[in-house]
Formats: sequence, C-alpha cells, structure tokens
Amino acid sequence: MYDKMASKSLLKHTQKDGSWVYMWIAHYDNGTSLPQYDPYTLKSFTFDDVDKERVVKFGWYPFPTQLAKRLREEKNLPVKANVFLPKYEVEIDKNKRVIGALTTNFQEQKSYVKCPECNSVNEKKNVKIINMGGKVYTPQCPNCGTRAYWKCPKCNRKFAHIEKYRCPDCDVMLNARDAPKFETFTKTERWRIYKLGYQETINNKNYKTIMHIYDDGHVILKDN
Amino acid sequence: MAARVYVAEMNGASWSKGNMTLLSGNGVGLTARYCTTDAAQPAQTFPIPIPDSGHNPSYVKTHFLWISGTTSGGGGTNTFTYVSSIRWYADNSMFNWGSTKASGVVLVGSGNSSYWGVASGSYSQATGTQGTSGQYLTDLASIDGSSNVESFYDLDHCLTVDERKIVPNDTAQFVYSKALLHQCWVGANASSGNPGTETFTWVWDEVS
Repeated sequence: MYDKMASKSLLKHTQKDGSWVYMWIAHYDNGTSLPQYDPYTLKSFTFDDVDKERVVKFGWYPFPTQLAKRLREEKNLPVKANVFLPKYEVEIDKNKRVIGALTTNFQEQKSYVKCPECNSVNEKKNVKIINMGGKVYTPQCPNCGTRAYWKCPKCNRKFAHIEKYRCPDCDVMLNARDAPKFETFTKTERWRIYKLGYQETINNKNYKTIMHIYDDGHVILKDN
Repeated sequence: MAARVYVAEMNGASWSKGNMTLLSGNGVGLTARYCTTDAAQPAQTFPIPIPDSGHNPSYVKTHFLWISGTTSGGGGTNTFTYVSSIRWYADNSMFNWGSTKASGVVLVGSGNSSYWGVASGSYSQATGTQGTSGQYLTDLASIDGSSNVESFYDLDHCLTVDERKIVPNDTAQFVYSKALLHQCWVGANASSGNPGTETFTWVWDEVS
C-alpha cells in the first residue's frame, strides 16, 4: 500500500506542462517581507532585490488563487494555484546564509512511438527495435507485441527474421509492404525543481543543506 | 518573474535574432531535423544519403538556449537574477543504431575550453554539399573534439554546455547561452527510411 501511494505521488510531478506552482517570500527581522510578486501591482522582484543581511526566514509558497489568476490573465504567466501544496520555509540565524529563489529547470523534447494496432503511446526508449535481417528493422509494441514480418506473396508464410529476403519454399522475393506503420513524434515537456536551504560555516568548513521540492509537494533533502 | 527560456537553432550567415528558429519552450514545439542543408526543419527535402562506404555527416546543428527576461528594474514582465549551469543529455536510445560508425551515430562537439558550449562569437554557418553531406564537426575551428551522444543519457551523465552565470540584458531584454554543436553521421550499413524522433533534454539552474 505504501509503495502504491509513493508511486502515485511521484507520478504527479510528471505532468510536466511547464506550470509554476511556487513563489518565494523573504521575511525580514522587522516583521516586513518581500514577495516575489507584489499581490497588488503584480510587480515582480528578483533575489537581487532581497536584503540578505536582514532575512530571518525564506520560503517557497503555493500561489494564492487570486494572485495566480491575475498573473495568468494580466501578465500571461504560466502560473498555477494548488491549495493542497504545503509551504516550505527555512529560518536563517546569524550563522546561516540563505539559498533561496533557486530552481533547476528541465525542458525535454521527448520521443514517442504510437502503435497502429492498439494505439498505445510509449516512450521510444522503451520500444524494442528488432532486426529482421540485413539492414531492416522493426519496432515492437511493448503493449500488444505488434511488429512487422516478412511475408511471402505466393504462399503467405510469415518470417520474423530472414537474411536473404527470399522465401525458402517458393524462392520468391519477400516483402514487408503491409507492415504496420508506427508513428513517431516528439512532445515538449517542461518541469522544475524548487530549491531551498542554507549554508553555514562550521570549523572553517562550509556545509549546505538544500531541499529539492517537486511541484507535487514532495521533497528530498540533499547537501548540494 | 522567472525567465522565459526556449531551445533554439541558429542558421544563416551570422548569429542574430532574425536567423534563429525557436524549437521548444512556452507555446513552441518544432522538431529539428538532421539534414543536408542549413535549416532547422526542411521537411524531408534534404535527407542524408546512405554512402557506399564510410559515412555521410549531416550539416552541423547549432542549438542553444534563448533566455528572455530583465532585472526587476528593467521593465520586462519576466525577471530573473541569473541563469547558470546549462546542461544537456539525450536518452541513450539514439536511433537504436548502437554505437558503431558503420551504421550511424550522433556526435556532439566540444568547444575550445573545458566546457562543451561554443560562444556566439565563434559561430559559423553550417556548410557542406547540399543534398549530399555536411562539413565534419571536428573540422570547425571552434571545435576541438567530439563524443558520441550515447555517453550523455541522464542528469548524472550529462554534459555542461555553459558554465557561466548569465545575467539579464535590460536593453535587449534577452540573452543567449553558449551553443551545443552536433551532427548525425549516416554509415554505409544504415537502413533507409525515417529512423524516427529522438529525445534531447536541456537543464539549467535559475535564481529568480
């Protein structure tokens, strides 16, 4: 049961539609804060605008619904509000330096193969390519097993692999003209990992602790 | 706001925004094609012929990130502090050809530094014999070596295209990364036809 739940959670962040789900807020020692987006004017700030000397807390927060709507409609930004996401914060004392506003971004043109028989779509790297003899290859659908075969136009015998391209019984040339036509295409997928943490110097050595936050809300703690 | 980042291809005589074709990013989806002309996607007009012996290289592809945005005072909608650590990998299933040059490979070139990317100032137009073969990647002055892309297949086994911290340019409101140069070699043992599409992934860090 636990494994199933874990798998489901990991699958969610594979939506990969390029949406931004978190914004950062820097909290200062006098109780004020600087958000990445001003909720009234929609002006955006960068990490360069943050007064790092005064930061006592820094965090990634899910977009409030109304702000997300305005950023989408008025600024055409790919922002998505998800009220079920948790917030992530780190407290910064005088010995720590914040690692914030950092994301690792992925943009992938991923290749897919569509089976003409069962219409299942599979990543190309998961589709087996089989040699039919000589320089001729066929994909094989991992879902239904569909693949191309040589066919003798005289006796209709089918061959999975043959080197001489001729029917051993009829001695006529084989063809694979009625082979299933697999369609390949690419689709762009985009996603990001939000990072948050701090570094501190202990006994003249620098130590980092960084959360890697995925857009389904799960997090992995790392030292880089 | 965060930067808007697109994967793009440069063609033509000089490095310029007008000679750039966007391949992927927000609302963009174009599959580049290895071919024997200087174009991002010339349909199937310029295929790479299978040679009787040896191999025919495609025209060299020049791919990079086009990063749109400004500082928060720069007046743009998309703002960022810097983009860094630009990396690239394929998915280790390159045409399912294996790694022999007899049937075909895709090679990436390394620039004249400790990183793979080539600066825009070193750009040169892809050349060759149109419809037959391109210039060898390793013959370019900006390239000092090459590797099979199958060496780069996930984030732990990727190549670094650009190691710099790339900051916004408030005047232009966009900046370019260094470019990754790559080309396809079709060998005498290749099978004819369309070998299908392949997966390429770009990764970068951004401080927003």
